[in-house]
Amino acid sequence: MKIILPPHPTSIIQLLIISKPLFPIGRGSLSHLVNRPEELNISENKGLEMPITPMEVYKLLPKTNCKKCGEQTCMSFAFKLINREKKLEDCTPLFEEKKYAGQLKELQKLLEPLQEATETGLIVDEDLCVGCGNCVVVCPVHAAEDPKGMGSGFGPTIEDPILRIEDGVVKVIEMMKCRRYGKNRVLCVACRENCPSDAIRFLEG
Amino acid sequence: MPDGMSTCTGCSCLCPDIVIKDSKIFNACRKGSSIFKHQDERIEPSIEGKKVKFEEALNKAIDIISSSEKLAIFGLDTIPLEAQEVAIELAKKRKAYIDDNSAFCLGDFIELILKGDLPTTTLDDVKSNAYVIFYWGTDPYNSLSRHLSMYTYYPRAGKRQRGYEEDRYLVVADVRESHTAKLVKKNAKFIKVESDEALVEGFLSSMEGKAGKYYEETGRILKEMQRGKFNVIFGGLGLKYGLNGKYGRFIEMIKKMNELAEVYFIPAGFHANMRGFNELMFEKTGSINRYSFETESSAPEYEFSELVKNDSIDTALIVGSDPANSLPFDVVKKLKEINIVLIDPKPSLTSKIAEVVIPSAITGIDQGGTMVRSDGVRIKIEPLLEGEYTDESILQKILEGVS
Ligand code: SF4
Ligand code: SF4
Ligand code: SF4
Ligand code: SF4
Repeated sequence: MKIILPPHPTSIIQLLIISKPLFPIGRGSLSHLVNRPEELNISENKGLEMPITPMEVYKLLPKTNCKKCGEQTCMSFAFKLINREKKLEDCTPLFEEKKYAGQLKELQKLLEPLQEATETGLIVDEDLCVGCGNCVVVCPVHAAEDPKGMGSGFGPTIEDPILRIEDGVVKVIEMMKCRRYGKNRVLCVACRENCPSDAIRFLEG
Repeated sequence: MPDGMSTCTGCSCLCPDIVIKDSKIFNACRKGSSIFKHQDERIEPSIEGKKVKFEEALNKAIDIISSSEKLAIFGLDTIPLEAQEVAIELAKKRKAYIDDNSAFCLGDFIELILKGDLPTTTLDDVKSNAYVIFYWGTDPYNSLSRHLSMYTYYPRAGKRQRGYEEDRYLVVADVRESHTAKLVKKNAKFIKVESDEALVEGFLSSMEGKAGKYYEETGRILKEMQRGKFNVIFGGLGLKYGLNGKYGRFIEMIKKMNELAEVYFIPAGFHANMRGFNELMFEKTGSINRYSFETESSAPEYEFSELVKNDSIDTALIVGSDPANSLPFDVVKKLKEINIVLIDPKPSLTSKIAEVVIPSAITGIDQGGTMVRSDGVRIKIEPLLEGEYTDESILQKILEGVS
């Protein structure tokens, strides 16, 4: 499949291209992406921290494809690292072999933002949030699971929404339900796209 | 605060789905949740800054109001209809002036709607039917934070089940790229307006088949309106000041648009029950604000700030408002010279300069009542707990007490 790159290639696209052979990304989501090139400009990241790309991580790994981490390739490991499916410690050569010490240090620095992110990579900045609820209402998972509540503009009537507004600001409750994560991930940017103050961002773009 | 459900009176959206559980506030926006969060920061009854018993403050207020020669009642936009009604009675009894914030807010639009000059609809109908959602001279993200998510662009309801990307068309017209304008992506249009009058003319020429200013934008929007059948324009302060009191062409524009498709107008939003006050006044006097029960007429010089500026009053009864914070500095200086009786639940700049302070309640927390949403729908609000005093009961006692 040919993917047309926008003038400023974004990490999301890199992520998709790189991940394509590794993970079954739904056909629908890719063609959706190609049909709407304007949606690709999503990770301009307006002055926020740059997202971490698998390529950046890969460059610092041993690149030996030794499989000790349980992955077939270092690239695959890099990808899963960013998605929280693997921990840096799983790459044992990095820690055991002296020659990687410098790279290890750099990697640890690079991956620092992972700490402040939620388990699956979504970061919210409460200071920027006014609790408008756009993200809560727009989320397709919310609309499907709670059509009378969040899908219709109200607060959640289910116990475990992905996001909800608490004390006037957005809070992440059940990130595992987000469509960007898990085996059948699709490229969803609805919550971030509809936050006027950039209070939501994704770790990897 | 007890657990429960309530309606937020932080603005005229009157969001009905606020949940309070274990002192946490759910679903309200930042502005709304702070009302609930800080609800226990209350003011004490006082006379000339000294704490007194509630009854003493009340009696002193009755004395001051009874002996006033030129009284104005002001504020009233955050209290329920039932209390506003008593305030209007009191103004009538004392042949006083009465005014709220609407004269420098969106009162003009409310008046045009009440007089039938602009076709209007409800937010519930917008939610179920509206296709083009047009914000003109307003940034709801910052002032009416849940407007788009609760009522207009984002909810799926009625005929608009497919979500904003397919079932809504967003238009934002503003002098700058506001937060709300950032939401304009695909299937949407942002118009950077230099002159609101020119944009009105642009729409009119477009409908006459002429290429005027903003030709491309207006043409596209009109096409979308035809496609959507049911459309709505929300006008804010930017539009009001942009039109500068000349509403004729705007009214004509909406009329012409309605030959193409249904196009309704709703004022964007304001204080929780400003529209309620305007509607009550309109019902009782034919005017919406700046009214004198002495001359039985409304006039620009009866606007509260004008009355203060021109030394037209000796006493002000201020209810649920903080003019010492909102009025210009030189007017506040004059305000300090007159007698002020304040009825309000919270400490404010005005409470610092008031002769008498009478603590009241917060609607939705410790008093109930009816409020009028920005679209004119009356919302019955149940309190979370029973307060000792309400705006209505305080005003009723003053009404009975004054001679
Ligand atoms: S353990 Fe480290 S070096 Fe080995 S394949 Fe995994 S990432 Fe590469
Ligand atoms: S990315 Fe999509 S699915 Fe995930 S929380 Fe945001 S809107 Fe919901
Ligand atoms: S869209 Fe942004 S500002 Fe609005 S509630 Fe969500 S995170 Fe907060
Ligand atoms: S939008 Fe207005 S009514 Fe709704 S929660 Fe916010 S302040 Fe309260």
